Amino acid sequence: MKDMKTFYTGLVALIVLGLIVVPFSVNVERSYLIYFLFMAFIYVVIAQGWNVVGGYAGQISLGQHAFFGLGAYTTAMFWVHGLLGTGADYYFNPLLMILSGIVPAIVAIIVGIPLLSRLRGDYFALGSLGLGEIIRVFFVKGGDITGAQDGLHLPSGGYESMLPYYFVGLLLAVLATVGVYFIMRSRIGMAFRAINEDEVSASSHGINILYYKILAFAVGAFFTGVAGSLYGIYIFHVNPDSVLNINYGLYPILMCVLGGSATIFGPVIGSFFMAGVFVIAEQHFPMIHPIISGALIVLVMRFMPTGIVGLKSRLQRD
Amino acid sequence: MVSTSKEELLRLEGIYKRFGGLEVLQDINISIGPEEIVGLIGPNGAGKTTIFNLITSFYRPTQGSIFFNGKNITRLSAHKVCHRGIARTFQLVRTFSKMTVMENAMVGAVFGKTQIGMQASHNAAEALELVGLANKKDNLVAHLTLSDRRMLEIAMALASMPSLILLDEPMAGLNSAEIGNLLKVIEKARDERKLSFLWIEHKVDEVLDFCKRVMVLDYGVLIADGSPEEIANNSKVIEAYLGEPSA
Repeated sequence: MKDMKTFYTGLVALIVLGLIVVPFSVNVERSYLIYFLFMAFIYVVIAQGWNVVGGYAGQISLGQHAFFGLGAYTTAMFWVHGLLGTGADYYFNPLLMILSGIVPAIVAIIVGIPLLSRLRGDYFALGSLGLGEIIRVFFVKGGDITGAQDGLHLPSGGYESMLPYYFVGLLLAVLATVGVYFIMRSRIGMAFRAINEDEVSASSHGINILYYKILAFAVGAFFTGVAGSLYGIYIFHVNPDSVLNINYGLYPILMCVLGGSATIFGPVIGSFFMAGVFVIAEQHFPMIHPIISGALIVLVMRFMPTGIVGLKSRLQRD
Repeated sequence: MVSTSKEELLRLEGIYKRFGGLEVLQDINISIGPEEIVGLIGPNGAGKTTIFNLITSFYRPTQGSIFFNGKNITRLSAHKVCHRGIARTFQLVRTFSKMTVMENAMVGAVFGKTQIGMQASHNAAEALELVGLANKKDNLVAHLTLSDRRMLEIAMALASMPSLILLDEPMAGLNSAEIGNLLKVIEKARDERKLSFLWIEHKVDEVLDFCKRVMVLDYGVLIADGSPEEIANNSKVIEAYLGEPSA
């Protein structure tokens, strides 16, 4: 057990080190690899967000795109309206990025109280899907404050290189994964797992199920919102179609389930895997790439029901 | 039947429970003192588990109040009832099967009285020791036998440091050797921890042998409360179990 742990820690350190070196061995501004990895990092963060609420706590949220969009919009609105003061530097402002996670987390708490106390299982999933739509309409109808259908254009004058995007993305992906690891080792993680397995039993053992469900929802929203903020800074044009796209609610579920939800590295593997599938399918089957991606997902689920991470233990058993 | 002495742990006062038009419990008055092991028997559908679900706040009584350590707990939420010191087991075992034995016990210890760190792992380990599962603490619960899972559920209850444990048919599905083991564990728990037990059981003989006090529930009405001898000779109880004597 101990040896395996050191082995995995070493392996992870090696991979992260490799990812740090990558930008210095390619032409960053032209390389497709850098863009590909940047998107994969964003996927890792939102997948880890869903992993907390859906994977570990078992609350199947279909509304993560609401938090992704909310994070991007928080960044955009603060920037465009100069809410941090006129002299402030908004480009990659860490305070603003954290704030872009806190706002979705607060919304998750406010919405979570009625949603999670009344709705269970499938009904919560549908309720969270509705949340995404409500948020979308809210921004579409937001007038000048949200830029309505056209959204908000961020000042792109500060853009110099892809490098900061790459490294901030990598940092967030690592922080999200390490964060999930520590949450799941704590009493909070224990409560999430207990609630996922048996709510009745959990509450009879003194676990306040509503509190922990809302906490999981808020943590997931925070991760997703920060990822949305980074994506918003990258595209410089935050609008309902780009950041409130339901894909950002569905991708993390796919990535978690494919990689292995309720595991630390499953969502990471799933994110890179899906990002790769998207690229390959787009290049070789441009018109029908969603079909190819879909078929592949069906195949993986058929032969690897516990995800890619689960494959190892399944092989060992056979 | 309602005693008002200070030596009282749990009191149910005039409890009624209706589900729609179905009257499940009628005017239930129960009092349990410290370090008492009380058996609760009765035919299927008499309302025994409903009483447990009312005490642990999974249901709200239609009428009546529940007091624990002199405080009204009728309207508390389920997890707060656990924090006050009432633990329970379930008729169909509800351990967490994707966790290890130790992790299960830790859930009881960490959230029961909201303890952290060393104290919680100490309580969990001690509870596993008491039920004899210490050597299996790293096993996954999914791989345990039913008997071990029932023991684990008792350990989870013990780890929360309660003063009352509600046992819902802990013997169901166990063989006689396992039952003997279970009885030993319950006795040990009471003696070492000064606990009270309220114990639902279908196996009437074991309850009459083991408990000094037994209550009988029939169609939602408490028809008897007394020593095993009184219960065994009570005509209402005999009627409930064997039917009315033929005229």
